[in-house]
Amino acid sequence: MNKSNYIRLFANCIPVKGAKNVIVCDIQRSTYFEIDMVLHDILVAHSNKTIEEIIEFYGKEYEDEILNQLDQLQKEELVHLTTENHLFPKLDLTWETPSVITNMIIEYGDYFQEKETEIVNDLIKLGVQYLELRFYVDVSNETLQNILQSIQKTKIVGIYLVLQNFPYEDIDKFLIENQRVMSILLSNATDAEDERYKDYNKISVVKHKIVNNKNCGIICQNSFQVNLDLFTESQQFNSCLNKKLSIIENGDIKNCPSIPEALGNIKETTLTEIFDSKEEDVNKYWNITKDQIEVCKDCEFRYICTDCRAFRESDNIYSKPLKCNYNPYNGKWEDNLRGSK
Amino acid sequence: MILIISKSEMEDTTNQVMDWLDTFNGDYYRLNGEDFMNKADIINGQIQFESFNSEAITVIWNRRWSSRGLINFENEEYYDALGAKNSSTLLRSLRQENGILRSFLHSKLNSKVWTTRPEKTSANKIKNLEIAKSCNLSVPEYIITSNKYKLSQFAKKHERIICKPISETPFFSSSIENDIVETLILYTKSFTANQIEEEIEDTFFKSLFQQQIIKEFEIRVFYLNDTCYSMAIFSQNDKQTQVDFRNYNDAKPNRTVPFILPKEVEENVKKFCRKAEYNIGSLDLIKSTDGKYYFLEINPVGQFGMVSYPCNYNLEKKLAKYLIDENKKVK
Repeated sequence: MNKSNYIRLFANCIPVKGAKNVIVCDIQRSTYFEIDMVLHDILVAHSNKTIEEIIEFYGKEYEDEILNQLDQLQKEELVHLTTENHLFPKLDLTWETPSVITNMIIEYGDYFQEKETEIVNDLIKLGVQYLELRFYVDVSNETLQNILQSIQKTKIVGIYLVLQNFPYEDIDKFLIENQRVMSILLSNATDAEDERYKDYNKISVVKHKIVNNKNCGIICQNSFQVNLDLFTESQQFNSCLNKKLSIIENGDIKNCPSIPEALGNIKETTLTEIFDSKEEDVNKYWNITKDQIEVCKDCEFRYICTDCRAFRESDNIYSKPLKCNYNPYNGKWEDNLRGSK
Repeated sequence: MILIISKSEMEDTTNQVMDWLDTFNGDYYRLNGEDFMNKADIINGQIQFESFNSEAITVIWNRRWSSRGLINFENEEYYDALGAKNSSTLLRSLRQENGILRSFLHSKLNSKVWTTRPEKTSANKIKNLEIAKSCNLSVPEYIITSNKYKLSQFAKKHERIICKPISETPFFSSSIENDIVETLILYTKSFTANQIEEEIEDTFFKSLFQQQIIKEFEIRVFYLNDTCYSMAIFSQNDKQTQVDFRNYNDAKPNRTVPFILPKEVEENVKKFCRKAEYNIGSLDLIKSTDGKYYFLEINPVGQFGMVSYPCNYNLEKKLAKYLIDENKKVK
């Protein structure tokens, strides 16, 4: 290792410091690494020093240890050496979207058929990109096909289906003809269905019946996502609710299906009308960042986990998500989810 | 009105720029090459295309033309009717017909502002190397020859040499099974002088060879309206991507990070783009281990999604803004 060089974290390997631990979020390769506090200081506080100057700062006696650690980071391709430190800027963490609403959840209900055209037009106006379509009852292939057909002219690039039954004989044909369907969750599945769909990476099955939206908000290591979109969006906005909108089964329009407060009902109003007339209610939670939420603000995972405002520890709008059992002050995951207080 | 000339399939970048144009209430029209060939009529010198009137157009984003080839090679009737020999004649003839129609469209729009002028959509690599040199950019030494002896002499002078297409990289496809199509790409290939001695015929199809530059990293620059957006690609640590980073390692992708060109290099890059008359383009550069910056080539209808996303430059928005501004200027 040439000691006259600077050592830099690649711009897409970003350290995040918690109360006890530090992680480096590798948002290019979608993973994260824990590093110790001293190494964090070397990479962050001393980033303007050459390796030589860093060793000088800590003392010659630590040279081997420092070089060993840096060598390890270089092998993992988290850092690179350079003589031109100033030519490698940090990643700009601004998050921008052309959409008014990026994600929408629609729970299919009695209201749907009458309002379909209106809803689809609003999906276009709002620039919705991702749609989760939930059915809590069985659906015919005619109904599903009609909906997918009418969505074709929107800007939606990804559709996530939650179904009680899969109404098509030919799965391959369905997936080829409906390229925007990214993933299907089949609820209430039989063993035969489990077997039938096991080779499809777009289809997952659960044996229990999903009947409502109370299952949401669980935060665990498996749900972490290390990517540029989430990392940047959560710097300025709420990582679960920003620019999201839902219509639940009875037609109520909400920011999130699991949140009690309704903004209106689709039978009496439209999505764009709600957005124009009640913007402040619609985006009530949008600007609550992890840096403002109790406990989360001291957590090293705050930019790779999704928040939950529907189920939280207290009435305080800034309280910690209820269904998270991580303690950033001792770095431990507790065994059981805490019940509500 | 802004005219986007694109293609109907596999064009996320066009869609993303359109999303931003919508946000800015931009007045635009997207013309896919397929639709021009299949739906537009030309009657007494006027192009009839829905509400399309070439007079209203001010600025053109010249992005792509068509997703489909002129002949559907799956359709064996062509061969049966004409015989294999004539199929190349048919293809040439269809190409010429298509070429005339396209050039008529271009001549109709000749006076408009183009991101890439029609005659500039395919780069002349050799001319560009010479223009780059005249703008004080370093370029690798090269030879274009069909002669083994001359190539050998050239190879001996340099440690290693590379060979790459003079025009665009061709993509071959072969159907393995019914639905599975394999794509074969001519990647840049590296040779030693010994390999040239041992493996190459005495004469061969005239090809471009360059001195191989040992790189510290590669740089992709997206040039837009006199601004450079650069990205460093650390492709040298991975054997698979050492010579050609497009030979992607999906499991462990090359590190791609935002980069700022040294002032002098940036000025020379801008000088090059002005002199070669490109308003936008994707340039490939190498930072060599000896500290120099080498210009390799420019793609005039440049890919920029691969720079925009990893560096979070949001170039789709910047391009949309550029088109909106140009449209206002002309109006």
